[in-house]
Order: sequence, then structure tokens, then C-alpha cells
Amino acid sequence: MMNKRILLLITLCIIISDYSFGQMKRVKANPDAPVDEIFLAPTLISTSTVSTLSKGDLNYTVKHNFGLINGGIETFYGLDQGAAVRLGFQYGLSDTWMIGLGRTNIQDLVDLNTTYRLLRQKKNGSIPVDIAFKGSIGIVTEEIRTYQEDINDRLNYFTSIMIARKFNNGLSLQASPMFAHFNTVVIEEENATKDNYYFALGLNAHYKATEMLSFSAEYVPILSERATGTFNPLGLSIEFDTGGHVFQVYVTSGNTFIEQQLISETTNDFLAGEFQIGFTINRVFSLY
Amino acid sequence: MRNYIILLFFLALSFTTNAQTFYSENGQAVFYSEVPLHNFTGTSNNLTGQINLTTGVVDFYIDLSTLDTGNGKRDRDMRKTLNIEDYPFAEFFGKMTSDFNTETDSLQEVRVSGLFKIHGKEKQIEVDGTMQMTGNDLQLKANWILNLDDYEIKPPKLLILKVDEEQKIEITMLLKQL
Repeated sequence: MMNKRILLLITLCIIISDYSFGQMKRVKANPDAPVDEIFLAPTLISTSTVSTLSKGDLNYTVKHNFGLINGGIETFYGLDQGAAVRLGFQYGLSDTWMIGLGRTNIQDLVDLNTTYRLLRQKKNGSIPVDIAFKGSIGIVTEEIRTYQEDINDRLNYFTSIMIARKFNNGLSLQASPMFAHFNTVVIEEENATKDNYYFALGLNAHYKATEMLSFSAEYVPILSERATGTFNPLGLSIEFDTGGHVFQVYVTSGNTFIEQQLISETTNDFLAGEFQIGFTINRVFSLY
Repeated sequence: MRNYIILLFFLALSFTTNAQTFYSENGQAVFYSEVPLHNFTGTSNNLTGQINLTTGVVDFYIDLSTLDTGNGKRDRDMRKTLNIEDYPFAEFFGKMTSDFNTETDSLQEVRVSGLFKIHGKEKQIEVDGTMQMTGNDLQLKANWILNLDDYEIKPPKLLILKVDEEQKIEITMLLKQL
């Protein structure tokens, strides 16, 4: 019995002295840290992702779509044709809350938007998904729309809940139930239908092939009645992460970049060859 | 009787080695990357360190995910470049090669020699610094130059963000006696 006690004390002494002579155990400062870079940028072609900016970061985006590729060599596969352009800014109020402002030349739409990350996927698996909320108000500022005398007639709204998961270092998927509402809709053709509201489901996939090169896709099936002559938007993208910039080069059937316009006004059928080349430049600055 | 002598030996050993041990887990580490028009610093306040003045053993490590350069995108790029998923820590383990007198509170220059490890690579280095007794605590400051190439740290070739090949590292720490 006495020998056992002595042995125990010696063991304790060895542990204490080992603590002084040996290496400390390496302990992570934040073992339940959130998963990094589920997507490379806050948008993927035209739809939003759960990725928000860090606090104090400003993201400047230039989005550009050319004409339809099926115009052939006469239009240099759409590159000679007029483009849809959106210039935008997003700013990280916190590591989970971002606000944004942009202008698209389709209907001269100015949009104010905000994204809030409700839940972050954790590295230790305690939270398996990222969930973010997005809200946006669009204001049609096109002068030709004289029938929209009241500012309220020019407003449209969009909201979505984005649910995403990074499965491994390569693959991330996202599903986003969406809702859009237009205070005013304009039906320009007889027998055409166009609702004031739309439900849709945004589906995004992102695969990181190398540290710099990724491939992405987005598909947005419209769940409510589609406007006459519109199709479910589909796009495929190659993304280059060069450090301060993320370049996205894509083909897409969507001819605009704002989700409420995307799900109500995509008149191109990707599977019939009706798509265009476009690109987005994302540049992040730190403001503090 | 022999058992008691062995026990006394180990007791004496453990108390002797622990008596002069200082520890902290909230030291500051800063690196400076200085390239014209692309200067930036990275800071962490999670430097963990232990110094045993009896044995001279010096042991420091830092969780690299805690380094903050003030730009979220740059932080993510840095974490990828350092491959912190596989190599989460930068660490130094070595011994003091100069004397330090605990009986005075004057600032004293010290030198340590040991292995610095980051990005899965390690290199024998010598670091000069200063230590000073402040009451029962031990104030430490040190700096050295880290050459990225020595540890096979290679930012992607297309990285527009310019990174200095040589990074100045500074550490500051107030260690408490255990």
C-alpha cells in the first residue's frame, strides 16, 4: 500500500517536472472557429451567397454582361453587343452583417441591400450549415417610365434565406428560398401574364480546384407562375482568386444581376443556346 | 528507506524546476510586411509562452488563425498561404544561451537558440531580446527576421497582394510566475 502511494507521488513529480522541462501541449485558441470561404465572394454570377465581408471591409464590384453568344461571328459572339452593367459597393458593418448599394443599367435600377449571417458553419461540426438572410429594395429610376409617377410604383423587393454548407476543402453547396415583389408590373404584350410576386429556389454550387481556380454554377427554378416568355436562369462560372481580387467569368442566361429582375425577366433559354458571356470583378479594401 | 530517498529526489526536482517557471497565454506577436505601397502588419494577442529560468528552456507557440491584418480577405489569403489547416501553429522551442539575473529589476539582454517551426518546416535560429523582472513577473521583448523562403512559404504567383520575402517579427509578453 505504502509503495503504491510512493509510486503515485513519484508519477506526479515526474508530471510536474516534465511540465517544466518539456514542450507545452499546443492548444488552438478558437477550436470552434467558423469555416472559411464557403464561397469566394458575396455573389456568384447573379445570385447572392452566404459569404459576407469582414468588419470594416469594402467590396467594390463591377459586373458586365455582353450580348447573346448565338449571334455568331457577326456579333463576335455577343461581345459587340450592348452590355448589362452593374456597379456596386458592399461594406461589412460587422463580421456577420453587410450592407450594399448598386446601380444596374437595366431599368436604371438602384438597389439597397443587406445580408445578415444568422448562423456560421463551425469547423468542429457543432453547426453544420451557414444560414444568412438577404433583403433588398430596388428603385427603378429609368426616366421613360412616366407611368410610374409615384415613387412607390417604382419599388420592388427581394428577400431570401440562404442555407449553405462547405462539405470539404473543395465543394460548397447552397439552397436559397427566394421571394420577390414588384409594386408595379408592366405587361407590354396582349395575353401575356406577369405577376407582382415570385417564389423561386436559388441553387448554387462551388468547387475549388486549386488555390486560385474554382468552378461554380447557379440555377434558379421559379416555383410560382412564371412571367410569359421567361425561363429558369442558369449560369456556369470560372473564378480566379488572385488575392485582393476575385474575378468571375461566366456564361449565363440571365441578362441582369439583381435577383428580383433575374427571376422575373430572364427571357433566355440556356438549353436552347441563349446565353451570354459576362464577368464580375470583386475588389476588397480595408477601411480601418 | 530507499523509496523515501527516491521520492525526496523527485520532489526536490519538481519543486526546483517549477520555482523559476514563467508563463503567459496572451502575449502579443506582430509581423511587418513592408513593400512600397503594400505595407501591412499582422497582430495576434494569443501568443503562448513558457520560460524556465532554472533549466533555460524556452517554449513559445501561436495559433496562426488569430493573426489579424485588418483586412478579412487578406487574412483568409494568409491562412491559405500558411496552410493552417495542416499546420495551425508557429512555434519556437529552445534554450537560453545567456545568463539572466532574477535578483535585479534592470533590463537585461538575452539570447535564445532553438528550433522555429512554421508551415511544417523548421529551422535552427538564434533570437536576441530583452528580459526584465517586474515584481514577480517577467517582461520579455524580442524580434527577428523571418525569411519566408526558409520555410517554403510561397504566396500564389498570381497573388496581386505584394508580400515581403523577409518579415520582421516582434513579440512582447508579460509572463507570470507559476
